[in-house]
Amino acid sequence: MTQAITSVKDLTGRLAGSIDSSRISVDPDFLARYATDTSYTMNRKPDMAVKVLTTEEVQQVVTIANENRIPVVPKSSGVGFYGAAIPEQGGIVVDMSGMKKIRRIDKRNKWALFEAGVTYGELQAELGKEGMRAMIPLLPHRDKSVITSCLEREPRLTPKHHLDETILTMEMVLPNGNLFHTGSMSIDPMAPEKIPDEVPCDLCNFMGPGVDWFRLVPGSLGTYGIVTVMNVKAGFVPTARKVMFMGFDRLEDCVAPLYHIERKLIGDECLLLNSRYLASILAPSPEDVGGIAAALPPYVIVLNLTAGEWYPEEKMAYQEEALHEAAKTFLFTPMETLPNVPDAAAAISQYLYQPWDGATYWKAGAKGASREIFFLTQLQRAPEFLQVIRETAHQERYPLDEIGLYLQPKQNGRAFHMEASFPFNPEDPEEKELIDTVCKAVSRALVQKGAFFYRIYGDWDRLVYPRTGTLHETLKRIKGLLDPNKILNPGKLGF
Amino acid sequence: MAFSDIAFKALQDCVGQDNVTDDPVLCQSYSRVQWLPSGVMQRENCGLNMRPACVVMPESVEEVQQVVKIANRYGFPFIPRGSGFTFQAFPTQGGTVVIDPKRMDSIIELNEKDMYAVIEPYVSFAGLQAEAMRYGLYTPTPLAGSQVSCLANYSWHGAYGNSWITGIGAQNLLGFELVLPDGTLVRSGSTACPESGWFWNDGPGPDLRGFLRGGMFGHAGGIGIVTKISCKLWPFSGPEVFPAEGNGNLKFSGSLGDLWRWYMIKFPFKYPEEEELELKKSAELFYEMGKAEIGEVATHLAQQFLLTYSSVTKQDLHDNMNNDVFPSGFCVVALSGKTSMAQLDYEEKVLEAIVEKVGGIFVEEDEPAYQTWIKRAANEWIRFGNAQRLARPSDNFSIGSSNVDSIDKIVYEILESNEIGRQLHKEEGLGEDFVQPLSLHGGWISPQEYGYWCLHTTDVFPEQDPKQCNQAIEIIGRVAMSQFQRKSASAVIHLLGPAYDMLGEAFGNIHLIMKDIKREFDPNNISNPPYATRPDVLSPEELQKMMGGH
Repeated sequence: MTQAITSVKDLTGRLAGSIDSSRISVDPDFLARYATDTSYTMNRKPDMAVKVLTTEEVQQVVTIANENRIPVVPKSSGVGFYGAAIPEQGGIVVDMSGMKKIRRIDKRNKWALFEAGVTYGELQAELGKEGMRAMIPLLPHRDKSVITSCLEREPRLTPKHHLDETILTMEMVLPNGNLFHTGSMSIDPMAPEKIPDEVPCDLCNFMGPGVDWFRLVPGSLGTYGIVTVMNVKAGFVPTARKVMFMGFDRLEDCVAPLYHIERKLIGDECLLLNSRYLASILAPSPEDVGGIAAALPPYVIVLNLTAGEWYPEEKMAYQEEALHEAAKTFLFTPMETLPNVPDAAAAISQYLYQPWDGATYWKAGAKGASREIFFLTQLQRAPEFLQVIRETAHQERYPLDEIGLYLQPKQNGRAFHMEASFPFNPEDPEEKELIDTVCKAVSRALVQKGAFFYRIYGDWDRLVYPRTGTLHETLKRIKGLLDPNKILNPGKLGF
Repeated sequence: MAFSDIAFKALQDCVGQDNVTDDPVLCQSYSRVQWLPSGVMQRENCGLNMRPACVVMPESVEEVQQVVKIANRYGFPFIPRGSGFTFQAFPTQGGTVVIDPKRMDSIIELNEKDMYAVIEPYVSFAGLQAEAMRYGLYTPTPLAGSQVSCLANYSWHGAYGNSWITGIGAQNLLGFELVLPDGTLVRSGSTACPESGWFWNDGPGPDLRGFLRGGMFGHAGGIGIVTKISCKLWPFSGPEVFPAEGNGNLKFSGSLGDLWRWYMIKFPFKYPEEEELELKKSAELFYEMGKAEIGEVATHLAQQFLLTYSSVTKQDLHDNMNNDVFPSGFCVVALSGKTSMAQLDYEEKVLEAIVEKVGGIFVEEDEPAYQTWIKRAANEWIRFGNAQRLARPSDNFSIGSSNVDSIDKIVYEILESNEIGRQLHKEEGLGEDFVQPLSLHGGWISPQEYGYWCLHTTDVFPEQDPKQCNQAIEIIGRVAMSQFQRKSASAVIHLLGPAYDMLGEAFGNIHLIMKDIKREFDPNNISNPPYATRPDVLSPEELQKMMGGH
């Protein structure tokens, strides 16, 4: 029997046998980068970080950790926003940000297979060579891992129903260190990129084996298993596109037009932003946000009309016609640009297809940081929730004109991701305290009103799960079966 | 433990005397599933054990919970039943109680704006469809037919004629309410939060649909009873009501209106000799349509599929066969003007260009195939499915093979599976008495979600005769083992029941995970045993016996 590990030194020794010691760090200064993220909600260093380069190395770390009940926190992105990869109980951070291989692109079946550390920029660059594109959320951070984004169920800019769930198959390391493949990748344990060449399987079946892992694992914040490789649906770059804007004074006024646009399947990417959030995207520098926001309509629907290879002009024409018909019915004016931002359409047209490339992340703005609260709602309830946000923030003395608002239709308008952003100065202790108070109060008020917090970060588990009957207990029972030693990201989701 | 009088009395106390019965005649009626070979053989092998000890009809989720708790107390197995379509809904051992949800048949909510419905287990597709179309929405219609339970179909294994855009059951399930095998009630999706409503599917946190469903076939009632779901509805460009044309025997297909257009497409190859070329060209058509993201329906229907689904009587079927109305399989496409008439015209123009590009030929309106399928069946297929026609050739039917993967691999698997079937027919005489040649060629290609993935079935048509049904099961098993040996993508979808023991080791020891789940959530092994899997790990000897030397 292998001797039990009782110290970080023992652990380093065990791992150094199979992983290059230069990629194992116990240096407190180095480990500090894993102790917090842009949410500034927690500060807890791991005992060790291992920069893994292969799935086998992940397996080795997890196997040893499981034998010795040492916490393991997977981290794929070079950036974090919601505290999901902060090690609440120390242990080992398995840093997969160096797993950068894009293993295969299947243009015919419209997917890309890649490793955990691949970012949207990197994936987009490779897909672009094939005339393809990734299904991207709204201006993700350039260091955001695509796999993390998929697992966290970040909403995509396209509301198309068939692109709501993009995960096809996955390679995972289970909490006992075993390798596990999901969907039709499970047909053979060989390297997944070889499967289509070696056996009659194109990695398009996402279901099974046993349970539907493509649904059970996302949202689990790395507590059910560590995903090292994944293939996801991709699309084609349109041959024609045109961004249209529709401005409204009140969120209530957006509801009927937006329902109509989605029900009629007009356009592709579609989102609704308030002037503050839109200005954060369009402003050349954070200092310009206020001025630009003041000139914009309070609420703007952004709609991207696109066409593919067949008769693109005709497709663009029928979409524009449908949009103008809707405008007559619902009394709004489609615009090709925005007040005081003459190049808005060109800028947004780029932003819909790429990660944020600026020096300061757009959500951080002039203050340097922001905290987001997001949930799902039916569109018809969005104004009610906005009122809750504004009233609660006002009660806590947060300046209302700084709140960013973003609504993203999903499944052609069946539901909407609704996000409120609260910028703050992380260097100012008073502001940090205020933002904690505001976010707690707003979150609580929203949950009580029925906002559906579908992605659970930080202390939202304590806010949401007590209202869900036995759901949390059921999820914990599943966790107990998969990870009886509770080594994977302990503390998250109340596990 | 045998089913006892005291257990029966407890059930009576729970649901009322009128809603539980052990009358042998009534119970016997819950033991017939003759239209599937597996059902015929289950009856042949199980005899009177297929008759439930009693049938109980709860009215509410609270009563379902109580029934399940009584089952745990007295140790009798129960089977959650929907409409009783498949053989897994029927007992295999004495002392089993069938839970029939007939009294739970409400459409609780139909949300027009947010395009979903909340339903109880005994709501049929027909019932939901009729309501949905009144609001400009519709549901996909399963090949199992409009009479089946919508909830069971979505929670388990739904496949639809129009899943080009809707996907299968897995894609149509939103929130759910589940009574676990120990009687605990759990809700998933937005319905888990009481004030949030039923509109959304995943969360909070992990998506419990991943636990409820598994692979293609789910758990077949092995982890409890689903008592309520919300399901997606889809924008519908057709009419709210349908005029009765012709007579009630569906000789004419009610119009879906001006915003709906059907097309049949064929390829210039000899059938069945050049079936491979035809199927590969069909794949090209679907790949191109998927890239262009056009269409409401896109599918390739096998010759037998077209024959069975378009026939209103057995006589009709045999007339159509003799007249060679469908000389091969055909691609069937529908375009729908959900945006506008201009969009519909645009898509038609694109379809014409694509068909020309892939070398296809539009079937003319005066051709018998068009007159029979489009004029008599296609619209009904969207409205309600017509499933029982599957059994028309022989009063019995089974899927001969199936697969889920890319369109290309679906075509590959249809060809491989049919070739194996023909070999078994030629060399071993298996299936020689089936309705031929319908059981030896063709396949249903059902691309999903604009072709991102695809499924298929091939068909076998034995008579309701144990010898023939046994042969059908032998053919199906041999094809499945071949898929496994070839490492075809299709192998992964066969994991259910004994297949976990036989194949689980090759799939990352998934059988051990599933047995852990079964033991954890069904410690008394009473929720439709042996599904999803038996709780114990088989010894090598038991496994060898189960595999029958294979």
